[in-house]
Amino acid sequence: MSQVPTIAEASRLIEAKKLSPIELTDMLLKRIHAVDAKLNSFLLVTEDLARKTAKKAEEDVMAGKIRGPLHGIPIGLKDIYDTKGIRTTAHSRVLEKRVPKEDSTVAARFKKAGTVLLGKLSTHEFAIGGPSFDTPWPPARNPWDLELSPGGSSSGSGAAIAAGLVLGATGSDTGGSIRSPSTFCAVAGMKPTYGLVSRWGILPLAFTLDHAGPMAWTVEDCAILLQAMAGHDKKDAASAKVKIPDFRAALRKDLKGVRVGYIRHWHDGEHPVEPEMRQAAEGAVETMKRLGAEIKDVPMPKLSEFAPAGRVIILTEAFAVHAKTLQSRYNDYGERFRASVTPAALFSANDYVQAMRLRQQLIERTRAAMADIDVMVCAAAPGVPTRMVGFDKDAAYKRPSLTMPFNLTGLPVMTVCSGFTPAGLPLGIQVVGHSFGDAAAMGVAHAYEQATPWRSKRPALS
Amino acid sequence: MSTPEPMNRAHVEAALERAGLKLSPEQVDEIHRISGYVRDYLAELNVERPMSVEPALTFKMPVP
Repeated sequence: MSQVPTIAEASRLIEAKKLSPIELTDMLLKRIHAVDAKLNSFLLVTEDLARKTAKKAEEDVMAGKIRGPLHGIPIGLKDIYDTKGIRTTAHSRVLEKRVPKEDSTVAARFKKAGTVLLGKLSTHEFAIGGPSFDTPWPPARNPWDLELSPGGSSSGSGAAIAAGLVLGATGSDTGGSIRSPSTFCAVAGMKPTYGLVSRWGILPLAFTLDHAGPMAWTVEDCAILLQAMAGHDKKDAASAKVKIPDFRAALRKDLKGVRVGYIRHWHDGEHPVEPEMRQAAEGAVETMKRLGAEIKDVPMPKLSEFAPAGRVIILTEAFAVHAKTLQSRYNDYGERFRASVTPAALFSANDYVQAMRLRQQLIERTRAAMADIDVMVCAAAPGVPTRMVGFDKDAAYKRPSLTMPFNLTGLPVMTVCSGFTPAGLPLGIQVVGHSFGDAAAMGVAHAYEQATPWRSKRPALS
Repeated sequence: MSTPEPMNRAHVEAALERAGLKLSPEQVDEIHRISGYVRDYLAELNVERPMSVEPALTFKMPVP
């Protein structure tokens, strides 16, 4: 096998006994050894465990004891997902030698599904603030251009998938941390509805905004991963008791009868996105129209209305998680984490409650805006990836986020590649569903993805 | 967009002290430098809204 397969392709071949999980694992380990010294997408490669798990998967498959579409599929976990007996550090000196005694719920579910864990993936420190050069491991780089950031905070997940080092990975998303690296690395990433996927055993950033979700090369692969991840977990206080749909069955070939709301004013208004990103979003909407969708502009609240609520909630909750450690080990955190989280010391209790009250108003206004549409579409980032060094450290203050609104509202968002700039840099869109309409958002994103050529291009890494 | 005028430095220092943080003078400088952004977005947040508006995620009694 010379090309890296998708999860769906590998799964079909494994089930037909035409692809050996051992050979697939070996091929990816070889690729990791060949290119990851440039990418830094892995913090830890669990090579022995991977070979052992792949061997067991192969024996099971040959004996006809296949567990499902993830059996024998090599994946990586963002290094904030606890893994029993395997170092989990959040890419931080603070937890440099930490070895959890239990698996996170998601890690346990992937284990049960028969996945092969290739290792733990790079992240911005505690899922915020990077890229940082003063943490114990170097930051991940973008496989499309090594001088550029892969986005974050699920930086290693995006880089490793795009480079073909893993077939799927986990991310976490508190303000855009699945969607930013998915966009900048040209992969597919799903931030599910808040409560759909358990966060138990995942190191928290901000409890009311944290979402766990899958990242992979295609929407279909994300659907396969999400099927294993989703479901009620009594150990997560926010976990929802809802019926889990068949995500793969909801993937669509056309968009006949689908009502798509385009959030045009987020691109053209007070904080315009770069022209190439706007053109790619408009091109995506045109493609959806050709596939049969009905398109209309949707009047969402302004981005600048979401921004202060998002900033105060994420930083207050993150500060609360880290307060005692910041008091005793301030300089063990990296400079980017410290600069991001410390301003929360300037907030009052009133500020946090006002942010949560504004959040409720924005949730209600968003619900009203979506009343007569099925999904919304908008750009996933204001422009192309920033440089690894010399980037504007105040950028997050200067421009409201295009992704945070859906952490505040908890809505599901499927992010997919929407093309490339003439310089070959990735562009992306967000397809936003109603609450627990994850399958619908994935269905629309899949139809779009299938109608475009963007999945035929991989970064050129020797 | 230029960096907005920072908050009063004594106010920033007092807030950091109240939070129990021990920062070097350079680290305080950095928080002070960006404090103008913080003041601006707190001003956007602290506006008049109806008294009846409850916070998001208000506790919901579990159904037995």
